[in-house]
Amino acid sequence: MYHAPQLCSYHCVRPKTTYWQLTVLIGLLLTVPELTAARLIIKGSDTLGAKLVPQLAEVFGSIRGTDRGALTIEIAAEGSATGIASVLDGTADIGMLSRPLRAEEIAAARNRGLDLALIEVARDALVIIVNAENPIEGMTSGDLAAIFTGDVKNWAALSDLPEPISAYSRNSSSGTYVAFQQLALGTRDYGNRIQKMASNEQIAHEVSGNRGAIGYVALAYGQNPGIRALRIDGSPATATDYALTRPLFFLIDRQATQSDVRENFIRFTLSPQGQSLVTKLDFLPARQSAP
Amino acid sequence: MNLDPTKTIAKPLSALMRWIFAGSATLTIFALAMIIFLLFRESIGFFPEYRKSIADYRRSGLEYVELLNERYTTFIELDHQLMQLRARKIRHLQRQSLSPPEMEAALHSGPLSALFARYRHTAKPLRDYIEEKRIYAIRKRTERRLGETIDAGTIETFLREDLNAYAHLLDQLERQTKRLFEDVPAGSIEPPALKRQILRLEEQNRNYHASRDPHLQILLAWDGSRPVRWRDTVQAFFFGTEWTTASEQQNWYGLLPLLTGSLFVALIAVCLATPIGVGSAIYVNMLAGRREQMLLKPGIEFISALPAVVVGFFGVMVFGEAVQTLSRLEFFTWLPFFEIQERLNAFTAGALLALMAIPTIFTLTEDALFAVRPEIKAASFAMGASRMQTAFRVVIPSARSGIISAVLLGFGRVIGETMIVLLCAGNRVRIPELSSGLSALFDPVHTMTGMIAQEMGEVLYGNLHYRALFMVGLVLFVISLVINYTAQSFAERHRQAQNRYRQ
Repeated sequence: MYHAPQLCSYHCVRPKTTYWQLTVLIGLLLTVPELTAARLIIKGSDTLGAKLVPQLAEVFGSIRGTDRGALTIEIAAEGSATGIASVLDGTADIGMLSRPLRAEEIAAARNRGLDLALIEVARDALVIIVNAENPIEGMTSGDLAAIFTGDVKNWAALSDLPEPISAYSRNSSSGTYVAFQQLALGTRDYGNRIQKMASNEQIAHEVSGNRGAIGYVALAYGQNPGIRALRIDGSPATATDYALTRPLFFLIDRQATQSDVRENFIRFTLSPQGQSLVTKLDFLPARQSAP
Repeated sequence: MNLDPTKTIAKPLSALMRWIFAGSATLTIFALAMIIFLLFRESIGFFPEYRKSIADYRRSGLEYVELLNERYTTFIELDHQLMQLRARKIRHLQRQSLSPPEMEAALHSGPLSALFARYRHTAKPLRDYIEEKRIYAIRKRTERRLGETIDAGTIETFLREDLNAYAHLLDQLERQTKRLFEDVPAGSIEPPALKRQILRLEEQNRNYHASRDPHLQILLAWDGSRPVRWRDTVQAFFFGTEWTTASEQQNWYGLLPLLTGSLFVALIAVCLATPIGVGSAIYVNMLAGRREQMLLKPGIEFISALPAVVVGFFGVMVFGEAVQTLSRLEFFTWLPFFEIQERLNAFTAGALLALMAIPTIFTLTEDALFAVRPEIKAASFAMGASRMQTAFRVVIPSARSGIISAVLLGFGRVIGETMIVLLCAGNRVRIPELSSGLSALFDPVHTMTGMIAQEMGEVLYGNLHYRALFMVGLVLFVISLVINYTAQSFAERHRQAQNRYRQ
């Protein structure tokens, strides 16, 4: 007798659905887009990585669209030294730097067989900020050096304010720390009374809460409430002859095997659209030179 | 799971269970051993490399430049004191509520104004001289780092060739500073206390210049090729007063500011947490009623559920500012160290660490009190003692070792805490100046844990800075070990004391 195929009911043995096999299969299917997703890991300077690079990444992602698969851009801004270390170790595609490389770092890269390239993407002015209640309007670069090297401990040495000076600085992983040292202190080291903060925002916050405070931040943070920017040697931070300007870089290893995402991102940053984003965030545009 | 011994599956199954449990314990011990081993391994290369670094520092002439710089910094110390006097004078004038032109005249054309304005600037030629030597030494140092050999003899010659010009420079400094002091008409200084201090500074200035010849002798005797002893290297780490990294000149890895910062903050925390923790435990265990017990005990233990980073964030945003605002109130101006300048300081970090330590101390003290044998308490009550008397005269002395153990474990917990001190302690790498009295409580400090967390992202695997951080970690580990061992021995003593009562 021909038995028509029956729907399984309680009297026939249904092959047991192995749920865990199904789960694994679904899981694998879900990770496939992840595996084929393009990924860009960017680590380094807080000056670049706090606002500018995240915004560049966002605009870049929306322009690129999803036709070539999803794109994840991971940004970790813990200081330029972390950017250099991760590019040298191969854990990041692009390093964000707010200072040039040192001789030892170039030598270390050569020893590891890397071919590093520094690309200037923007320029920054370091603004010297004091608490809004401090009447001082400006100072010479000599006085600035005296404050941060510890030669001067009290505002009475520079003005008529009888308050001790609290100098806030970034910490040593920061490129801004090194850049300020090179621009303002020359070969001298910071004094041991400086307090090492982790980011521009933290310095701005602390200076706004301490009457005798002084600190240095990137141009974008110079207008925060409770603080005031000083003129250095008579020039404000936006003037062309301001002494404390420095270039900001992307660091790459030319030899690292890459999809073209990294090149496209850098090209986007240097394009007019990217540079307009740079100026919108209170940075100065990069000087145009051959990469 | 059927562990019925009459079934045949039970024996191999229970053997398997036994192996799983034994395996977990072994794995834990193994992980601990691996961590200790790696800690020692990564830090072992530190002292040889540090010695090499200090040898380069000496050979390139940077040590010589530092000797010159010491002369300059001693001079600057005098200027610091002078500026303190100026600040004091300004505050004195402000209290007299003069009109703006009178104030202006008093400050800028008074008898002391030339001295105040020019003292520090007389040292500019000295500063420039030192800068020139330093640039040279740094260049030699960089050449050495890139593998080229440097000749100590050439360096020494360059550094010392114009020692006569240097001596002449110091003479000029002496002449100018003495003249600044002499030009002050001594009779016209108000108030008399200020006059005394100016005269004392003048004498210190004289003494400073009188020590010129011994200083020149030291410079002449400096030898750039003298080898660096192991003892010097070890001393430079354990007793070094500077932790400087990312320096153009020389990276110094001195533990002392970090160690004293950690101990200072931990001490503040324990001093705040012990009365609260032990007091609450005594209250909850011995004196409180049922309902209060049910409310207080879980409440205090709930504090340990707060993540450290949340407490740290609270400290940065709210607590530091609140203490500073409090210090500005008129009510507190009689206290010498108020008002507070920096919001992030040792006290802020210490107070928040105390919050983290209270649950630890509370729970362990309560356990210690609970472990006191009930027969002793019953005997005390039987003799007619009140709850209070029993608590203070019988139970607490009996639980003394346990309470000490609890406090030590609280101390051990706070000394290892990272997030709160990184966010709230102010991060000034300097030994707190205890000589300035209680205001040292409100000085920013840096700690061992905070420094490791702050700098670990910037070190390259295997370089000197990397090993220095591991050395700091090793010191922290040893301190923790000692504290825990001591706490355990006290706890053991408590347990044995209680067991003795069993007879």
